[in-house]
Amino acid sequence: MDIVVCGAQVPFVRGGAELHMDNLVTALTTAGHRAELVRLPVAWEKGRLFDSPLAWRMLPIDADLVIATNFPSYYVRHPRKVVWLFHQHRGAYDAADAGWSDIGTDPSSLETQRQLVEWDNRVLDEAAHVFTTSGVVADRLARYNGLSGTPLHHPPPLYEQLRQAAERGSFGTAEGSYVFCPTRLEANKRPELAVSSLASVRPSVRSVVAGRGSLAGPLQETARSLGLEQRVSLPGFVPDDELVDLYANALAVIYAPFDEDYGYVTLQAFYAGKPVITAGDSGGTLEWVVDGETGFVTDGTPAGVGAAIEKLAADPELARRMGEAGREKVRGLGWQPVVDRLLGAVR
Amino acid sequence: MPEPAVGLPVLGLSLHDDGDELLPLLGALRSWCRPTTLRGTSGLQPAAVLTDRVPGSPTEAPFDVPWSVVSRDPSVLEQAGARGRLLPDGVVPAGVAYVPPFVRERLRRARGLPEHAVLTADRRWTAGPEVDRPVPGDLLDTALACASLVVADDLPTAERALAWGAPTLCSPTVAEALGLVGTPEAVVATNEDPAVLVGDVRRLARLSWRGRRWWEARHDATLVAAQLALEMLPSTPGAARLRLAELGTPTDAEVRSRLSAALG
Repeated sequence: MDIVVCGAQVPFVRGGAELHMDNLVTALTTAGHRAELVRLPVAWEKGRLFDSPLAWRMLPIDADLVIATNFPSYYVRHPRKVVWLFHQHRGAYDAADAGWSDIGTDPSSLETQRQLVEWDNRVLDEAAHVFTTSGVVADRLARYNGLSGTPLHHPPPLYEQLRQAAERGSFGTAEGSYVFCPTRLEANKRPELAVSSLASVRPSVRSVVAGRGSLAGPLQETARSLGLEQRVSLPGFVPDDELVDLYANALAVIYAPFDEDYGYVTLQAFYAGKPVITAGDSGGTLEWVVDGETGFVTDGTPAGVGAAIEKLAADPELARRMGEAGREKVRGLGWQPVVDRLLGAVR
Repeated sequence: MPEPAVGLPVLGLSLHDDGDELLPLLGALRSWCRPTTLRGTSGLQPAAVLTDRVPGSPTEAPFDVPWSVVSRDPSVLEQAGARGRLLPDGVVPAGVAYVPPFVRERLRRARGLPEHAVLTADRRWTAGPEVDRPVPGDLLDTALACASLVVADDLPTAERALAWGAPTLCSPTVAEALGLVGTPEAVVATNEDPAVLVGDVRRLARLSWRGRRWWEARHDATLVAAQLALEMLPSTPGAARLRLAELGTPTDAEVRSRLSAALG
């Protein structure tokens, strides 16, 4: 079958969504189909918000099937359209009141939201089936649009390497251990928790916060002001091999973003056999982390996260058991079941 | 009814009834094509055909161009299958638009109104500063656009509420008058406690959208005309405008201005 995967493009930005699209194309190709990714630029600000959706609406896509992913690629018009919804334009929905959104409660913003919901509903309604990356995304679709979506989970990037690395990993050495927080260093990811929480944790535990972003400087400053410079490492971007090793030898992984859509970090940690410390408002992460079983669901404060780290530092065997429970939880994930579900929706 | 532009494709009409019921739809179709009776095409080849009955035998192709059936007769629609479409009887009243529940909540917030506001059958609010006074008739549309939930015990109010996308609670009698038999709860709520229903955001969102879709299939000829044109006449001039119409875009929407500017 000839399958076109449709995705939005933000020039010069590459993150989880782009990896997700690429991996889907690879999975479809591996399953014996011809698959290609078609992407169009999107603008998020209010004044240009509807330009890209209209452009998608106009595109001639000659294929047996299209699989649309994120906003606004699901505006593509095709008689055999399946949507695997990564996310809608959150700045006009659940994050309308976030500092980074240009949507307020002025008449222009309200009309933008009204029109966007109407457009979204019409184009999502015409799909043969709407899958979502997670239960969180399905719940938003139900709350804001009144539409149904079926959560369809998939393995994260590097999952094979992480699975293998788990066999040779450790939970620390005689000199101490570290907690690992791989994330973009932006406010919604709350990387500061992996720094400030150390203040209430035994000195033998360090923190490695890997990733790039606008908060790199402020994080260093926080570590300095708390006297934690020697215990906090901020290596920036790390290549895949190093990333896998960092997962494999961590005591635990800290991942407590605000209302995450899915959260590859949680799944990668589980593949590596590590417990995850998260927060009660972390969204999709909570579909995986069961408090006291595969990690800890904290109140999202430095003290709460610190207490969870301390429990694991005091009892590495507990960390190992939780990590093993996490591995068990992701055991059934795979790309072939994903391909079967997506294609089965239009047969 | 405006005269259609000469450059538009011809839509052949094969009608068995007198056609009056089709007037709203034909008027809306004139933005995208030239509706002309098949007998009156004077040698012009129609690009598609619109009919009100399924012609010929099931095994014969009655027309050699794309064709669709519009009707209000359930048996005709059943026979037409995927080609059939409910015939709408009007257009969206001026100023009326679909307003989903979470935008309603933000509208109320912007106006200092309560988080939950139910408009009762006697047109009073259940909360807020206006709780003791009935909503004046000239403010009814504003109320229908802002309410968390509308309780309607008469057909006109229920239909107007559905047009606005208001989650609507009505009696089984009104539901039946709307034509909702079998599973009315897919479109409107019946026999439920409004105080409980108003707290169920997922149900309100579902009622809002399904209610609006149900209403527009019966009453929005503009939308149905755009859908028919896209199906049968995809290469008609004004493709971008056609897609905006199919999405229910208001005539004064900013994206229309941007499109006009881009087209020069």
